[in-house]
Amino acid sequence: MTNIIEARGLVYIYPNGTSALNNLSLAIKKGQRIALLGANGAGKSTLLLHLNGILRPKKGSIVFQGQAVDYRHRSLLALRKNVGIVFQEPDNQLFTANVLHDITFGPLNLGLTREMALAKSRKAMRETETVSLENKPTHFLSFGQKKRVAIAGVLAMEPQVIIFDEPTAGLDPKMALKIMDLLHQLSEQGKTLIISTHDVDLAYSWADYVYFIKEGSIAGEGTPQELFLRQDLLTACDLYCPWIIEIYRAMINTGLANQNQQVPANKNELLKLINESPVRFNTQRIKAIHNCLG
Amino acid sequence: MLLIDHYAYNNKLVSVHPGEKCLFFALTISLCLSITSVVASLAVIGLMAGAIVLLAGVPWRFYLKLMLLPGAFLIVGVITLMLTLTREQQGLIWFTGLGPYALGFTSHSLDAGVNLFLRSLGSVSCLYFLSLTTPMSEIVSVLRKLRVPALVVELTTFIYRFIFVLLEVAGKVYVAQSCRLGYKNLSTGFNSLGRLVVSMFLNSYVNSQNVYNALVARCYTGNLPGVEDNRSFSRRNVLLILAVDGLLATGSLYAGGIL
Repeated sequence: MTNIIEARGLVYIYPNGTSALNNLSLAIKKGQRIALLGANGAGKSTLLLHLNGILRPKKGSIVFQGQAVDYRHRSLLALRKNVGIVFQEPDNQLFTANVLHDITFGPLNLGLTREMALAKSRKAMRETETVSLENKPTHFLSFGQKKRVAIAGVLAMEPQVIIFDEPTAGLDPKMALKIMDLLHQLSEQGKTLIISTHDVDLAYSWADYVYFIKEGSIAGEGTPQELFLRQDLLTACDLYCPWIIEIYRAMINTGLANQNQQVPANKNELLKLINESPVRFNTQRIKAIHNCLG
Repeated sequence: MLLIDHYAYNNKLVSVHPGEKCLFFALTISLCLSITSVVASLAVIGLMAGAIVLLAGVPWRFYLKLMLLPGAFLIVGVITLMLTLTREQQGLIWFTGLGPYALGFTSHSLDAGVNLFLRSLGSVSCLYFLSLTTPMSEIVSVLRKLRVPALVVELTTFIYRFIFVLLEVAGKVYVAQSCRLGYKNLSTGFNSLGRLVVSMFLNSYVNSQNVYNALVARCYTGNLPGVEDNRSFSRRNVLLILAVDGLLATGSLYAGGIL
């Protein structure tokens, strides 16, 4: 598979002197589900703004489909057409009081006709379940509704790569689940998705490839099942261990599972592991697991 | 503010073409401003009250409260205009003596004051009609059709949107300050209010950068394309508007109004 977007040796220093990116490189393949993890201030958001050409690196380059972005008007528009960002704060993204006007903004900027733009917007509105919001002013929408309208505004441009900055922050569990379902659908359509998050559990069961970011560079990368097992790396990046891994470890330590078995990738696989365990539970074992989990 | 906006999106005239409502507004307010006649002003006030309460279905209590707002300002302003300070008491309908001077009304100043009061109230009710029946985004689309410069249209769009963002932030900061007794007495109140204003400025500054980034991320190149709806003018409504305003004009000229 070819790389759809790459960052090569990015260096970025904010005007106030804060060094945000420090020789950061990554290569993302088409169709991947990527999670970027890191503490606050690690440089995640700065990196996202680079991937869409809003910030220009001091050194290094962004390569989209094998071509380096040259930051001229035309090449920037081409990049932004193909790489969409859903920002964390929907209020920053919704610039008009009219939902339909906001969603058609991107497609019209691409130079589509009114009919085409409307058709694409309506499709995006169906996918994000915002059809019923069309005639509501944006300031009367709830946070979850605003978030979905913001997502529709990006989907309507039909980008190949979609970046979500903290997709579930501030949402109630049900709405968060809905957004994650949408992300699954988009992934099945063949889109390349990148999310930035602090939520290790979310990243662990959703992503197929993970980057840990620390102080502006990549501290580790790999599949979640290998990367999240490295406790030293997690500690260094100020991240917690996902609960699935903790349970898996406890199962190994108590003999419920053995190390040759595959690390469970999500809750269902973990439950399967428990069900297929040759050892049946008894009070002593449960006590042992309890002790193990501290 | 929020309630006015609520009715703008939820009234019985919301499906009427915004151009028709703007036409009615523009014709009526120009008549109200150009014809100096108590009858014309009263007719406009009545006409608009009818349109807002009966046609658009805005509760009359709410409309009355809205009218009291400019009404109170107008009464204070007009009274000061009507008062005359003079040495001669002749010609004053009513006066009170202030040493060698007399403070009172002449019949002419009284006339002028009442005229001005009613005319202003009439114009305000026209403005209320527009803002209570037409969502801002539709007014903007009419402006765009009228070939108003893009800069003005865009500023209107942004300002209107961010009034609400700022209101929300200000509300949150205010609550947070009150929770820590920021408004327990007058002096802390002023202090807190000052800080609130400062934080609003900083907020706006940071937010404007974020908004710009979000716009640029969706290929913003300096103009906001608009999707106009394809609703067509209803001939019946336009004729009705012309008839009503024609009747208003001839009626008030006949009743002694001067252009």
